[in-house]
Amino acid sequence: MKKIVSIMPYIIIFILCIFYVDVFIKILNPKPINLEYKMYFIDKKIGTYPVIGGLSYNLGDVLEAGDYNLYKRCARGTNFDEDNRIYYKGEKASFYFLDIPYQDLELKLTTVALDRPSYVEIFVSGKKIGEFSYSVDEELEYSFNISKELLDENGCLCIEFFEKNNLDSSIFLKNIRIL
Amino acid sequence: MKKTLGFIVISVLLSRIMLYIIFMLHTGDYNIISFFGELARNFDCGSYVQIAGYGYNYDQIPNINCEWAFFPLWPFLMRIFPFDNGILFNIGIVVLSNILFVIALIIAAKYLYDTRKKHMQVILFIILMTFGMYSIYYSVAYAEALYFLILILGFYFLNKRNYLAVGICGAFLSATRITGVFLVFPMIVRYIMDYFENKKINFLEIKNFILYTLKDYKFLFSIVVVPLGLFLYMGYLYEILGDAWAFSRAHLAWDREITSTSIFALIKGVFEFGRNMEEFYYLLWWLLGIYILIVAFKEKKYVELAMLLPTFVSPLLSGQLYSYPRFFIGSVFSIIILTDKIIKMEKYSAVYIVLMSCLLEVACVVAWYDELLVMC
Repeated sequence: MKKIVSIMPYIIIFILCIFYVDVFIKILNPKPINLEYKMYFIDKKIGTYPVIGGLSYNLGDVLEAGDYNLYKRCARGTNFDEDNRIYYKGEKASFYFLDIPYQDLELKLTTVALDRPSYVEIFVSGKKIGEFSYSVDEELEYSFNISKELLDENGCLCIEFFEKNNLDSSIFLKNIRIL
Repeated sequence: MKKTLGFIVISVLLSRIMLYIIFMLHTGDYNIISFFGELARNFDCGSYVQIAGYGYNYDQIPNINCEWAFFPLWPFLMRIFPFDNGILFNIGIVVLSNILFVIALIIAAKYLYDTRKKHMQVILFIILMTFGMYSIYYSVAYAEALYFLILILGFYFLNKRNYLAVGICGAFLSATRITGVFLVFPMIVRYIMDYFENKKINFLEIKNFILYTLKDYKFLFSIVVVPLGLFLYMGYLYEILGDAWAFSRAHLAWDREITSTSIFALIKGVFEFGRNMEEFYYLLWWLLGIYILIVAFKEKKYVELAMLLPTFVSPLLSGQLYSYPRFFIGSVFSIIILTDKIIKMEKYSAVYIVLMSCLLEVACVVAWYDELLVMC
């Protein structure tokens, strides 16, 4: 009996240590409950925390450049100015959309340039789906097909823009819509 | 001690009346309820209140502020007041914070009498903690008063060599703020110092020390139990967010430019004097922190130094420089070490420093009411 009593504290210490190790393992292997959390806090893909469900997109919604609804979808390094010019540091200007149903989609864009024409390539999940040009003070509409194979298993769609002329790593977008 | 007790109560009351007078003069608002609202809702207080009211239930409330950065013990205590009654809740949590502060000051006074034995130093400490710069944090609904209480209680027991009580204090302290886990360091330093007192340090003695420690289950348990509050909270975060480290990552969402720059921001502060005063300001606090560490070392306050050192280093590693003054004042030993130095100064120099600190506190109070970020 005396021996058991003397061992008890060590058993409690051992249990506490096991608990701490378990939490340590959990620190190293996070399993975020939602993709927005993972994309912002862990992968650091997006530039602002859009709150839970903030990147969810309903097909057909028109996202105007300059609106928070598009701004919160920007990747880290992608940003707007007051003229709806979209700047990007790094390779491309990227936007994320979640909860996209697994089906063939259509991407519709309206563009208008303020100070210079240029050419822009569009990529979805790293694959080029087309390119478009814009000219100064003239609204142009474009439409591109997105194959369902480009969607990932989480219904996440990453649309990327690359300015072909590489003038100042910026593009002009008036609005964007996925159907 | 009876006289000191009276001095504590009068100092706290006077300093809180002063807060109200500054509030009236600065805002032109004489309403006492608005005053309590300012103390209960500004900056992080709002997040603590949010947690107290809704818990960490992030599916139902907007979570842009990432409330999971705030540790649970203080909002848990807030819940003794009815959240539905906003006015009563505001008054309740501010009064609670101040009661905890008074209790903490009484224990701190006992600790100082035990370790310093100088009445004037105790008085000086009480003045700096109630009227001194950044002491407003102990008047508002921040976790500072609770943290101060548990920390000083832990050190009080440590001075009495009651390790089990220190360990339990540590468990609660680490549930109040991340820096609470650092209480293990002073425990270890105290234990080592006690063992090697009047002993030569050699291989055999170190071996004996290890065997002695392994047999001392009370001490081992005390050490192991300190991080329990933190680990329970991390386990809880894993359950609700799937990320045990979420409290640390939450700072990303606050878009504070200075957060990721860490120690380089301080170095930058030297070169950007005049252009970027924010970084220069934190640099001054950092230098004062270094000075206090040196004084603590010179004065051979190794046990207190063991708490101060990680507390001062951690904001630099995490890049939380804007919290540096709050960490500084929150780690009460920085003030205790300062009083060690001030008490040895000439009378006029000491009075000048204390007066300057009190005057700067007025600026801090105004900054609090104006919600300037330097006070967050």
